[in-house]
Amino acid sequence: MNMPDHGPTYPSPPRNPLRRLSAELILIVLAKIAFFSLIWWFVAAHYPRPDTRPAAIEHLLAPSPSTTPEAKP
Amino acid sequence: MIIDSDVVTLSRLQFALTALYHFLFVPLTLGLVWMLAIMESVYVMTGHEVWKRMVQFWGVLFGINFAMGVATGITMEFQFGMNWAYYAHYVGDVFGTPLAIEGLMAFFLESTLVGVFFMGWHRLSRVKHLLVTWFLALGTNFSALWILIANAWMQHPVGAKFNPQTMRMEVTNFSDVLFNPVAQAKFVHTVSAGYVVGSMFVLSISAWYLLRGRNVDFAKRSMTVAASFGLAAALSVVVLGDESGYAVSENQKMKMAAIEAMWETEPPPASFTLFGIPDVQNRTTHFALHVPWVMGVIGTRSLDTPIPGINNLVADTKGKITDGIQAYDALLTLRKNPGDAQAQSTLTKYDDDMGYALLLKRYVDDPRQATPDDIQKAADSTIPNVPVLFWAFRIMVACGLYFIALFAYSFWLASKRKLDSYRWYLRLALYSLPLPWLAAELGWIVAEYGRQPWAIEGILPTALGVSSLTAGQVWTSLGGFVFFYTALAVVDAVLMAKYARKGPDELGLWPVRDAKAPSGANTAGALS
Repeated sequence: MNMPDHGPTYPSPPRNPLRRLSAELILIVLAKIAFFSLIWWFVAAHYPRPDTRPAAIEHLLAPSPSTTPEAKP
Repeated sequence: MIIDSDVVTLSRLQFALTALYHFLFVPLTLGLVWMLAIMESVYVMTGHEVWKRMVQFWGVLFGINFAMGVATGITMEFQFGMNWAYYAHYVGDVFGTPLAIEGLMAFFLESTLVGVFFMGWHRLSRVKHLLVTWFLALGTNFSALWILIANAWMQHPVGAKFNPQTMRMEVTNFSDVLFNPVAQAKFVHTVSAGYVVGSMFVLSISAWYLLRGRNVDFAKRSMTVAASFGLAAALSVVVLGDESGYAVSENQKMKMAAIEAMWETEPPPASFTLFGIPDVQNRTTHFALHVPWVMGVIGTRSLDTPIPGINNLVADTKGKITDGIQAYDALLTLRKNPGDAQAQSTLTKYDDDMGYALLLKRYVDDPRQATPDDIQKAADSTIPNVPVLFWAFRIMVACGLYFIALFAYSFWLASKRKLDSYRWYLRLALYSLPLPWLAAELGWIVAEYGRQPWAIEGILPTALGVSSLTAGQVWTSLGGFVFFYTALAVVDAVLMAKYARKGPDELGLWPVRDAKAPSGANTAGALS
């Protein structure tokens, strides 16, 4: 398209048009971290750290003490 | 200990929801970043300002996607501890390594490079900024590599062995974990699916501009890049998907049989079921439309290797369960008497099948007391949800073939400079926007739902990996995730639509007011 040569014709863009977006995105990331921390705090934080030594967790694979180990299929 | 299925189901649901949600962002990041790298390379090579503005505009949408997606993946990593504590303990020594490397790459490498990408336009030379963009693309993809290595180990656990002293899996050969053939096939298939997502995103939004008669030159160039990159990606995703399918038929035969709803072993080469209605109750597929030979050739790459059917695999599983019980018995003996040579020998002989004995824990407290009925139930439980896998796979493949057609036509139109000639085509390109996401999510459903009932294929049943939580606790976290992720999804959709609608013109990125203006004159401080 040919334009007559009398200076710029485009309107000036808004100054730093994406600055607001940058701020919004930073706030969203912070909100996410805060909310995830909140879920963790509600669900898990107040539980004691589990004992994961082999002797402490072997019951998860082994049967309850009351069952008879000798019985075979 | 009989497993609390409510907690298992809820924990699975929570993990599935968070994973599917996270993967709305990942493929766009994986694909769009390469489009930015291509556009910026053209800018550096030609010096044409429009290419820089294209990078900056699509970079804004990339930035929104990145910021909205960041930290949604970390919730899955936390869930390994919160909801899958026994899983984390049992396989953490193996699984944790690639997961930790992925975390480091995603948070330190990728996030740092994203920051430099956005803030470096005025601070770096053209070539240096281009290098940052390329490193960002590579870093993003390598980050995906590590998580896929971790995931592939769940599908095909290699390079690790169960240690009866520590009661968990330990790495025996890290190079086997790293070069797991399933990981390689999964990586290339997944990232190329991401490239299709990125290409469709640019193609669809550009088509919308052309329909509106806005940013025409800008949109046509963007569509040309998207069509070229998208065609290569769509072809790759199908070819590499075939490789991934071959890996499944080698290592996860039940998943393959379920995808095909193949109840009985057919004489080789097996046919491909194009359409059918799987009937789980009667173990048959109604109205099946078979294409001879195709499945056998694709799945085994031979004409004389059978693909086992579901019923045959269930029968094999019963034998593995029986062997696994011997390993389980030997393990318990060794726990009491670590020096028992006979038990050690039995465990060594049968330990590959010990996981199959653990399937019985859903039905009987002590697998050694399992009845034939319990063994049958446990063997039947290895059949995943056949109708879901059957249809999810077919819709995904149909989408993949459609993408090849659409990008090929787009490429042809671009080469003829006719991208804005047909409004029906532009509408088709616009309305195709959600399809690559649909295909990608279905792909994950096939991969992960098809792995059930295993958390680690053949090693650890999913039900056994769960934490000692109450259903109420999981409901609380699940409710929190659903609420927050829904809110985030709305914000994401609003932001994406808002800035895509604004377009490069309203954002002041295009047209360039003065061709001789210094680079980036209109975008000073963009995202900085």
